[in-house]
Amino acid sequence: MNDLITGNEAAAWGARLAKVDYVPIYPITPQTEIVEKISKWAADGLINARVTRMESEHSMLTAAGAAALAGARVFTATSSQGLLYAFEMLYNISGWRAPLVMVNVSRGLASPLTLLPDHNDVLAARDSGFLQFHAETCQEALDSVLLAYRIAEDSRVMLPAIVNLDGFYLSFTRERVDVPEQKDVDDFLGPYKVKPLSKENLPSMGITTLDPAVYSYFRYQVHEAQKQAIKAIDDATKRFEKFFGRKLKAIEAYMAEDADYLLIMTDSFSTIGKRAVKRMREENVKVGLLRLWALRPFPIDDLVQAVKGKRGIAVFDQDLSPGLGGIIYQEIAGALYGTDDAPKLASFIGGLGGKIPTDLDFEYMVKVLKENIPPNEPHLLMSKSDMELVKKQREIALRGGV
Amino acid sequence: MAILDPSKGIVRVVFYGRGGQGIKTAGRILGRSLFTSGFNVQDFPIYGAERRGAPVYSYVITSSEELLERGPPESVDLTVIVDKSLLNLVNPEGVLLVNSVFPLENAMSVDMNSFIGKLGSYALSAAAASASAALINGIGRNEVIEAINKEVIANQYLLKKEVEIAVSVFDYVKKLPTPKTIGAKPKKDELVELSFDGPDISTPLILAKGTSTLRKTGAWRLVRPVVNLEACKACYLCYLACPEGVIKLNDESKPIISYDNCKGCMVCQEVCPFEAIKAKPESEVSLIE
Repeated sequence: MNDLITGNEAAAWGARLAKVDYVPIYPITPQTEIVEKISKWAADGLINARVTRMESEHSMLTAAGAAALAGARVFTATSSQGLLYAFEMLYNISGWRAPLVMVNVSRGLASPLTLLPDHNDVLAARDSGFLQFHAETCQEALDSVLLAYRIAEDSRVMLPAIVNLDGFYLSFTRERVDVPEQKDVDDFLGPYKVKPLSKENLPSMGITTLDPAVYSYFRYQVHEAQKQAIKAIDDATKRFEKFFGRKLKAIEAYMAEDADYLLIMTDSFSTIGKRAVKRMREENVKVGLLRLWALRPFPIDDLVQAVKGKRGIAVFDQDLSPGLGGIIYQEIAGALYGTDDAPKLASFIGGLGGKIPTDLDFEYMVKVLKENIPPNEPHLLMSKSDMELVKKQREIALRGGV
Repeated sequence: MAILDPSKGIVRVVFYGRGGQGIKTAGRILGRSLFTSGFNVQDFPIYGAERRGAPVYSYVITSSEELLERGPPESVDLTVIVDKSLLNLVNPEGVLLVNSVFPLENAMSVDMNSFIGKLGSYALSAAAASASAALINGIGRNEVIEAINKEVIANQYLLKKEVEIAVSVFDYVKKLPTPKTIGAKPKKDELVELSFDGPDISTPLILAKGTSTLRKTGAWRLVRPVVNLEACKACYLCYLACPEGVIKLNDESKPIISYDNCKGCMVCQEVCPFEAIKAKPESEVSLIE
């Protein structure tokens, strides 16, 4: 079925088609539409899921993890401050090896407060042990939820997953989405494999260890499982293409093969990056784009292959680690350091608080690569007119109305 | 008379109106009409933490080719102003279509309210969407009707009425002469380096007082309170009750309302024992101004 739906509704459809059993919820802009939709479907008897509103995101995620271990396929969703409020439980749930799927609808973190997206919220969760998949389009919001279940529940992996989609630019934007047939999704996913609790099956979770070696063993096993997830992604995306005809990869390469220069981006602004690449190609600039769909596990081997022989790479970070710079830049630099003929890297910070990248930004990024300017620190993509707005607001804050 | 052609390139449309006038729905009806006509389409509303009556806008972006778009575009091809009192807040671009009784320079003037009659703002979204659909090549009347039935949440009677209104508006706009296109103003910009600013400047601290009055919430009003000073007995209940603090008293202790910030909640009218405050629709005031 082809329909015109929002990214939020697409994500909700992913949960519906996965036939989730349990959905603990707590509202937050710009995510709320997802749990509203699921609540309505449950109330109308269209899905057979138990929907429970908790009193906070922390309880929501605790309930989600516990239910996933008790034999229920679990879905939940949050955003920004809500994700941070639940933060403690992220590490617990990955340690429990509970393969639930949570959607995060990206929104910049306070202070100052915003409703528009950047990725400091979801990237804060990068060390938690959750798998992480980042959607570029509304279609991908749906597809990524299905893939996340398949990969999370893979017997080699058994880890929870976050599917990220950008607030507003996907969450409230309607696009054409192909909603798969239920029968095909049933076959693609298979049943949830964690055994329900019963008299015969009543394990308890060993949650405390004071022995450092035992602790090290279990936490490192989460890393080993993430490495297995690289293979699980490969299998799941191939299977997905066979079932639904759509191709997703850990890293998408766009006009990249013959390119001299590459942009690296994630999430919905990659679409604008592609437009810029297409336009610069018309002016014979040999530029391409890599889009990271999988952030955890980090697809190191694919990355090394994709950048081989390139003259320069510009990493667009829609996030910031103050005191260091772009988070994804650091990960890419780390992955490429010491590899043969690693291309030069430059770091750019843009899109904070949902600031839409412009043609000017992309032209500047390629110019930096061409001129081989040593990237000692990140370049913030900020224009004269942006600064005029800042100046105006600052003057009002300091001196009142002009 | 279709003047915009998504089969020849990207067409970007914006609807301006107020919360409660169906601006998001107008975008959705147009978006759905384009979708069922076989075009690629994106539609999305823009609003902040505001309320009924506050300015709201929504975008529809379409093409027969792949859409590589995210968020509000830098320029638009069709600006639809559903609430004329917002005209001075809007920077019109492309073809300008205004819901207005009077002819306007460089704009198509369509008196949507006259088509709608007693249905009021219920049918404004259908009227605005079908007026814009009439200007786009490749959308037929049937696609608009189908889209209204799919996007509008209303009972059968209202839906039927809205479809009738939309069809009349569609046929009317098709016969109008082609308006001028207002060119997008060229935006000159360059990237700058950010310098270090001390914490006294680089903290989002608001030191000045009364800065919230600079946010001209007067634009949120659907109706404005108008005081009949003859009938006023200077009890200043309105002054005490105003939740926004936008009423001052003159020398005779009678109210002076700041229309820059009054949101039109009409609490003052409610509390006035002498019926000295009356609500006046903002659209009528703007027409006189």
